[in-house]
Amino acid sequence: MGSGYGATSRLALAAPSHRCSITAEVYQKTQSDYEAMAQALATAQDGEGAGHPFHGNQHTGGTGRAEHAEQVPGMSNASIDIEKFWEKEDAAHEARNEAVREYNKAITGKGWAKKEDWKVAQAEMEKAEQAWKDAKKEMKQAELKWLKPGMEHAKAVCIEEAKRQDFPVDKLKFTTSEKEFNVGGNSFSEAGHFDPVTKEITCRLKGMALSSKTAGLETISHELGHVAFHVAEDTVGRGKLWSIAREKELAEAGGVSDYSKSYWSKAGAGVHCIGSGYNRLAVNETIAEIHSKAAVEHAAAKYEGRPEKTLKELGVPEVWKTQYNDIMGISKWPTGAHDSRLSVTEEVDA
Amino acid sequence: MTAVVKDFVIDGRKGTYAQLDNGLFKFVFDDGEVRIARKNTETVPVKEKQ
Repeated sequence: MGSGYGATSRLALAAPSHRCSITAEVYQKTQSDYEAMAQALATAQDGEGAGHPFHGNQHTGGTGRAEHAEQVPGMSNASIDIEKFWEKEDAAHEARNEAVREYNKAITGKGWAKKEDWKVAQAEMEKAEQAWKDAKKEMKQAELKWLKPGMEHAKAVCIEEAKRQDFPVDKLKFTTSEKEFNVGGNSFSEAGHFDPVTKEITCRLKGMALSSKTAGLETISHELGHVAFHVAEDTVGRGKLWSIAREKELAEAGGVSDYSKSYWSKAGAGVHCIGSGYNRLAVNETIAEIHSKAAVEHAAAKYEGRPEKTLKELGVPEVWKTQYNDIMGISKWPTGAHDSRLSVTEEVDA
Repeated sequence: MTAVVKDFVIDGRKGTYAQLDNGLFKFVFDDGEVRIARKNTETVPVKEKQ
C-alpha cells in the first residue's frame, strides 16, 4: 500500500463539503488516503489467514500477548518474530520488579543484614530498570513494524464506520503514539479517547491493534453512540430525553452487556435512584453499547452476506429499542454541515 | 460475570471506570472525557527511603 502510515499530520481526512478550509490538493491527497485505507480493509477481510474481521478475537484487551499473537493472524507482520521481543521485555520487566522488591525490602531493613546494603540493592535496581527500558524500547519499535497491518485495518474500519454514520471524518484523529496513565496502582495504555467539548475521537491505533481485530469497530461505534446521545441531549435539553416513568422501565430492564449492566449496578439497582446522575450515565453507556452491537452486527452481516439481525434478535429489550430509536431520531451531528440523521436502527430493523 | 464500576481520580479529576466486554477498560471522567485503554502488566512501585 502506497499511502504510508503513521503521520498524524496526514490524518485530517475531511469530506469536501466540510467547513474546514482544505484545498483541492489536500482533499485529493486525503481522499487517496481514504481509498488506500478502504483497500487495506478489503485486503484484511479477504487475505489469507485474515479470518473473520468482525467476530472472534475477543478478550485480548488484557495483557495476554502470546494468546494475542495466535488469535490475530493477518493482523500482523508475520516476518517479525514479535514473541522474541515480548519474551525479552517480559523477562527484563520481571527482573526489574524483583530488583525493586529487594530494594523495597532493603530500605526497610527486612532480609538485609547491613544497613548499607540498601545502596547495593539500589544499584542493582537501577541497572535492572535501565535494562527493562532498553528492552521495552526495542520491543515497541518491533511492535510498530509488526502491527502495521493491524493498525491499517483498525484505521480503515474506523474511517469506514464514521463515514457510514455520516460522522465528519476530520473529527477522527489517528495516532501511532502511545499514552500511558496510572489508576489504583495499575498502568493503562490508551486505545481511544473522546473529547466532549470538541466531539473529537482520537484513535490510538497501536492500542487498538494490540487489543483485538474488532476493537477499532467496537470503540469507534461505542463512542459514536455517545456523540449521538450528547447531541440529542443538546437538542432537547439535559434530562429531557426520557421521562421518569420510562427511566423506571429502563432501570428494570438494566444493561445490554456486562459492561452496561455494571453501570446499572453502580446506579444502585436503578429504581432506587431515579433521576440520579448515575442513571443518566447508565443510560448513556447502554445506548453506546446498543450502538456498538448494531454496528458490529451490520459489519458482520455485510461480510457474511446475510440479513442483519434485529435489535431484538441481538438481545436488546423492547424498552431499550424504543429509547434508542428516540435518541437516534433526535440526534444530529454537531457540525451543522452534516445534518443526516443516524439510520442504524432503521437498517437493523428493516 | 458482570463487570464492576469503580471510582478513580487522575490528576485530581474524578470519574468512574469498568471493563468492557471486549476486555478493554473504559474511564469516564465527570466532565465527559472518555479514555478507552488496555491494562498493562504490573509494575512494582519503588518505595521511598525514610
